[in-house]
Amino acid sequence: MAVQNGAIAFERIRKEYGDNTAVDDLTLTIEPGEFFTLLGPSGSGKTTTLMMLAGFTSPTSGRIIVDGVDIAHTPPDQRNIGVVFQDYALFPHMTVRENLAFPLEMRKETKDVAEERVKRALDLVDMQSLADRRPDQLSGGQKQRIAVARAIVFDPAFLLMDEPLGALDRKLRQRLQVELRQLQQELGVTMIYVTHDQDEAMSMSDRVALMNHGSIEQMGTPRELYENPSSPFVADFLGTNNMLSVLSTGPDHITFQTGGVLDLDGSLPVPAGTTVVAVRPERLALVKAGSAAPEGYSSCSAKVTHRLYLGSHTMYTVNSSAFGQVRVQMQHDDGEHPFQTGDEVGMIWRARDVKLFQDKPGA
Amino acid sequence: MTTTQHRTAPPTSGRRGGNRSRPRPRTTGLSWGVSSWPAVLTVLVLFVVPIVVLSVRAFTEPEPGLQNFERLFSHSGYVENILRTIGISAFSTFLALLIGYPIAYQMAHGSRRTRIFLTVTIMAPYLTSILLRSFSWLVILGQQGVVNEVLGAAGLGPLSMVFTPIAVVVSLTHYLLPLMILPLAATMRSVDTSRLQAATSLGAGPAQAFVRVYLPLTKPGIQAGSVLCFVYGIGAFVIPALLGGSDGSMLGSLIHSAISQSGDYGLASAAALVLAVLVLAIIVVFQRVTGMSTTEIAGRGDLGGGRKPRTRRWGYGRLTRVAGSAAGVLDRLGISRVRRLPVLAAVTLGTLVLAPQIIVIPISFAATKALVFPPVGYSTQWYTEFFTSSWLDPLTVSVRVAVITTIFAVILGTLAAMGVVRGANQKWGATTSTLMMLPLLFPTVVAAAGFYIVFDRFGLVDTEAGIILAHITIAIPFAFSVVTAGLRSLNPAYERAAASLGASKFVQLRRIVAPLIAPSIATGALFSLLISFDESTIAIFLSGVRVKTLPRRIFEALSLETNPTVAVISVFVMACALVAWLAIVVTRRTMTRSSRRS
Repeated sequence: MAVQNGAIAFERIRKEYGDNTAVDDLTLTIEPGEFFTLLGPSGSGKTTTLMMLAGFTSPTSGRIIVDGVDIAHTPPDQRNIGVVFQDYALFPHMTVRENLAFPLEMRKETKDVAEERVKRALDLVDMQSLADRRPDQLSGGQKQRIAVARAIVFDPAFLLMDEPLGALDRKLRQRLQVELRQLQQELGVTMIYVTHDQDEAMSMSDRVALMNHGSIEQMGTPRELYENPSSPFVADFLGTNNMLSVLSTGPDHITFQTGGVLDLDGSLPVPAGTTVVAVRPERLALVKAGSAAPEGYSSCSAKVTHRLYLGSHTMYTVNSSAFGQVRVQMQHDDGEHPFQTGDEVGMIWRARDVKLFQDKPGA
Repeated sequence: MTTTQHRTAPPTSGRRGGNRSRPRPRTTGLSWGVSSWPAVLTVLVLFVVPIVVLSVRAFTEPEPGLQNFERLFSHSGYVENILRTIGISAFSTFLALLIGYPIAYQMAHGSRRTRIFLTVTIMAPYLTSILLRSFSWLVILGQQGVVNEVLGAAGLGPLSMVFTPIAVVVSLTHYLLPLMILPLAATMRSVDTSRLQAATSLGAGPAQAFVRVYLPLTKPGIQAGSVLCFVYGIGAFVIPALLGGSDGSMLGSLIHSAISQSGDYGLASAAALVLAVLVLAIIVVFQRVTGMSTTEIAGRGDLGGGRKPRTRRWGYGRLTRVAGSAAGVLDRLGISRVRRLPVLAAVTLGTLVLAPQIIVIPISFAATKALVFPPVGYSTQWYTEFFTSSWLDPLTVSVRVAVITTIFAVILGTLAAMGVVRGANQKWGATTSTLMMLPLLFPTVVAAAGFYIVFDRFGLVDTEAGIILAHITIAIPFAFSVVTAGLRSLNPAYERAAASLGASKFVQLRRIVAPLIAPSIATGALFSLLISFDESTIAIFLSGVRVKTLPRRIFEALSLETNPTVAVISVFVMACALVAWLAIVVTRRTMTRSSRRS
């Protein structure tokens, strides 16, 4: 019997709907046992990619290799892939137990085996007591767990999830993120997770592919994407960023359209064709005017124009000599007096947190 | 075994997914598009082919040439018949619009009680066999009928109405009324009444606001209702055959008498072709003018929702402006400000529509065979007669035919609906929809003539099999459209989920889709059952000597003799409808109560 070890490779996958290209020349490899997230705004092609993997739609061209076999045109019922749907799609006319037994019945398991596995799957998601309920008698979180149980009860090598937490409230979502991640590691199953929520992607994934306009903008660990965005899109999509348009560049300085002039002191050569600079608000800091910058930091003068108290932190808008108008995020520090609107202050940052983006060649 | 090294496998029985654990490289292949083929084939072979054969026969019987059309258009009686067909349908359509508009208005905007009352008065006749309704009109319009009794009491001489165009127009208008009201009411429901308020706030009186603002907004409903009535009017067969005599004969009855009395297939085919061309011409012109699709016209109740009425200039035309100032006179006289007037008018008209239904109850207890109202003396002899084999045998045949027809129509219609709603190819889906709805829009009398000519060759005339085959084609549109509507509202994620869990297309249909759209399938089945059970045109063409359905038996009773047993059937039908309605109401009550409890 062939072994499903859970490796997936998309090879030059392309999907067109009429004149519209939903997925454009997608190539990626997912390792066995990996928690892989497809992240992107709506219309970026992430759901289409998932649908092609599940078999609900066929690619226009390209191959989807699973364990060495091209399954691009295999019917979904012969793929042996667990899918958790956005709205769960629990069969409303069946009880929880019947829902879970359904895939086992399709695989012609004996009654005893099926009963045993349904019980174990319900144990895994801690829902044994609800076996005889109907889906309309379950809460959102319960439905979500049952949907997961149904997707793993037949022991697939892959688990696909299409925004499975989208319909739930924030607290529950955060708890289930942890549970899902634990369950995936416990089972060792390969997870392909689709979401537009960057927090979910960041907190659960081994690797993230950020999609835009049908292709992958950047792929890597959450940290790589956050710390080293490869394009302005990635920098802007993940977290918050001050995105600054460049007016002109000199050999050792950049002039922004905001009026700021960033002197790089030769610490960093300015590449030709730099058009956008990104610097995150939490990587900027305000200090008392005139105080010296710590070792390894650059500094400039700034004036506070706006202050927004947000509980866990305060977001300042300042007019700085180096960047023009930027936002600065400051954690609260009891000892320090918060800065007031109109205050003349100093601003400090590390050179490596300033990201320069060049025009893509040919673009 | 399948447990792999790299993952901490859960304590499984060691067998993961059994022989399915490895996806077999097979193409997605069969999509749902295929599932509409059986129905498409059925409609093509059983419905389209007979019509094509009929058209060919019109040019080849008895020898190739145009002689049948020459006969049809040179004989003044036939030409008159064609013109009368058009005239009577147009006039009946106009009357139906006149009577239907106020009723539809109250059905859309009236109080809850008014709406329920009017729905009953419109739906009760709609669900009653056209034969039974014709019988009611025989009673009402007959020499000793209700109308002549009233005229006699007023000192006016008896008026001959039966076997003249009068009886046909009255009866046809009554028959067409629901077809006018349903699309009208659907359109009216989508009209935003705040626009009427806007018009009155701008200084228009109620009547003027109605003519200048409301009427133009209901134009799509008027158009759809009118074309539907006109098409069905032109294809009328039972009414002119029973009530028209030779003076009120129409194309439908001409086709029937040409086949059944003189065996003149050539003339019958030519007349049928003329009828079909008339109908198609109306539909094509209508589509050109309004841009509505065939399925939209046939879909009736669904009209108006979301569609933007094309009222570019209508509201500003000279005609509406003149009518508007005429209405202004009504406003100034204060007639239009009598608040109860519209409701009263609608309720009166609704009562009149329902009245023929009620009038048969005393007739069923009549002591004499003659249709006199009120009856002279009472007896239960007609009830006794109904329970003899002369009536019970046809009843048995009708039930059997209806049940078998329903089974086939529902299976074929459901599969076709799957193909259209879930199929990948939109264009093919649209074509299939049009083909499925064709038997509903195409005049049944033409199809019946086609069935007769083709089935005759295979020995299917005067057999139950023949009637069933023909009935399947006309029941499919109902099963198809109801199930299609149900499927469209079913979330496709359930099927995808089932597929991801290993269910094949067939299993998805059986285990997931069918149980979830069971209410739609049941409704489709009920419609098919009623349509087949009620069907008179095809039954009259295809049965008679060896096999007789109940409608065929009623037709004989009405055309050969006057027989109050028909009134007994009417009473039974009403009783059944009442019981069914009560059953639905009671089950709904208990269901809502039990669901509230849980």
